[in-house]
Amino acid sequence: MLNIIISLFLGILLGLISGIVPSLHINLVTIIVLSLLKSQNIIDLLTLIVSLSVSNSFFNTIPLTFFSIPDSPETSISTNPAQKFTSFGKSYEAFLLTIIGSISSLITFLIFSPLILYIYPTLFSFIKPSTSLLLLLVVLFTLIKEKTSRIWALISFLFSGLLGIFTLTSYNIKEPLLPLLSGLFAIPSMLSNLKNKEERTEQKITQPEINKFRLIKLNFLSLLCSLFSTFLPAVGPSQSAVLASSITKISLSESLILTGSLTTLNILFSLITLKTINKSRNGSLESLKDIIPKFSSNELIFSIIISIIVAGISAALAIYFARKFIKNIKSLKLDYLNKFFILLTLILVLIISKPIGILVMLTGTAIGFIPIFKNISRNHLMGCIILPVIFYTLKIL
Amino acid sequence: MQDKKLFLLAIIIAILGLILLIILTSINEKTTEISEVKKLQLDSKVNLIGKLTNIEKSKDVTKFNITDETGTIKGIIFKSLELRENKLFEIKGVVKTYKNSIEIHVNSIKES
Repeated sequence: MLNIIISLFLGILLGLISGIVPSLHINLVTIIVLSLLKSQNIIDLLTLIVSLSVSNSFFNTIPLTFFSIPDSPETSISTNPAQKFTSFGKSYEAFLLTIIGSISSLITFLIFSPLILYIYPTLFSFIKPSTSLLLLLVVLFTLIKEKTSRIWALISFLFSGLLGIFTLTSYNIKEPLLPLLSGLFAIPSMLSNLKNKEERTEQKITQPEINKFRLIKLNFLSLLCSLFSTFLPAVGPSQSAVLASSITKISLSESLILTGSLTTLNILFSLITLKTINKSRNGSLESLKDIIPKFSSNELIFSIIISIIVAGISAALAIYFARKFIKNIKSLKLDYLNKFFILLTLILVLIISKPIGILVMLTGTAIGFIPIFKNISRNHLMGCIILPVIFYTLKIL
Repeated sequence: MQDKKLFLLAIIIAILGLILLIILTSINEKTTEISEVKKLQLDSKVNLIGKLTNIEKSKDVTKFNITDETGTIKGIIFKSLELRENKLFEIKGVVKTYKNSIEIHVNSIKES
């Protein structure tokens, strides 16, 4: 029992660190942890990985909300809403909205999980033959939904897709997601923050006003969109958000709730898919297959219980840290912080992925600037995962 | 620097980077010997050349042993494939463990 509690808190701590440090992706942390602790008891490792994954989904909006750095494709969907809230001095409120989204989606998930568990295998076998076609449709849909420039959206998708293909299929690049995602998402934002040295608005602690009926509706919507995205490899929260926003009109504050909700559901649905089809939608939970080849019902129930405990602790910790950030944000030298994170990413990439990783990161950074300069959505950069998956499902790769 | 110039620079770097990556990833793909695989970290990608023996095929999985002059290792691919025994194959995959023994989860396999 003591080991489980230690694993749970260690997982939360690692989720916090990987959530706050923009380039430290959860998959990388999981691989390091598993290689260091592979001789540990299976239940301890399961607790650790589930805690790490769930807590990361609560903390990974911190860099976006407080430093304007979307560190992953999951959080890039709410770059603009978070920045707008920050410009009004309401970054704490923005952060609180993502936490509300995460917690409320957990409750919705718990209510519907028995039904989802029951129907999932049938739905999956029905949809599986059309995976590549549906993926193409999702890509087309997100490109058509782009209002500013569809041409540049397509170029961003194709460039990031080509980069993904060469990076993910190469046998010379270790941990390819590290330079790929840091280059496309984190580094361009940090460089852009350094370039645009605007006077930072004073941030205050304000509370969001939430329409309960809208919250319930949003939760249903994110549950359905997340369920749909689980059938399609590489389609994550950012594409689910585009889908959700096309079904109903979503305000700025609601898009932040949606971000929290979709990122947490992405993790929770991974537990369901791990049990029902022995596949996970999440890299960190996928690594559980190395220690638990067949995920049983008992392990699923145990993981869900751990998720509930971790969600409660993470939400409390996240709010505590957010309040600390707000109080000390004036004394925080954001320029130094951006430079520090850029340097840290460079060092991590150089050590883990070697010089070829730096080339991937540099190319990714250049591609990642296209949506910033052209003011289009960054979710087109998810081409880095979607295009290789389309090629793979069509047996081109 | 003006935004337009910066944007142009980004596009040029993106294109040059992609071209350089195509060249580097295609010319520098070294083969790993099976004796070396055991020294690698879990989830490392490997490119092996070896003969296939003990091929077992089921509905969704094909299992086999891969042998080169330095040793033998288990391989598994999550597809049902027709593979020929004792023929030389080029195998790309990832190092994994299953029941405390190292095996290769194969992503692609072709006769060399």
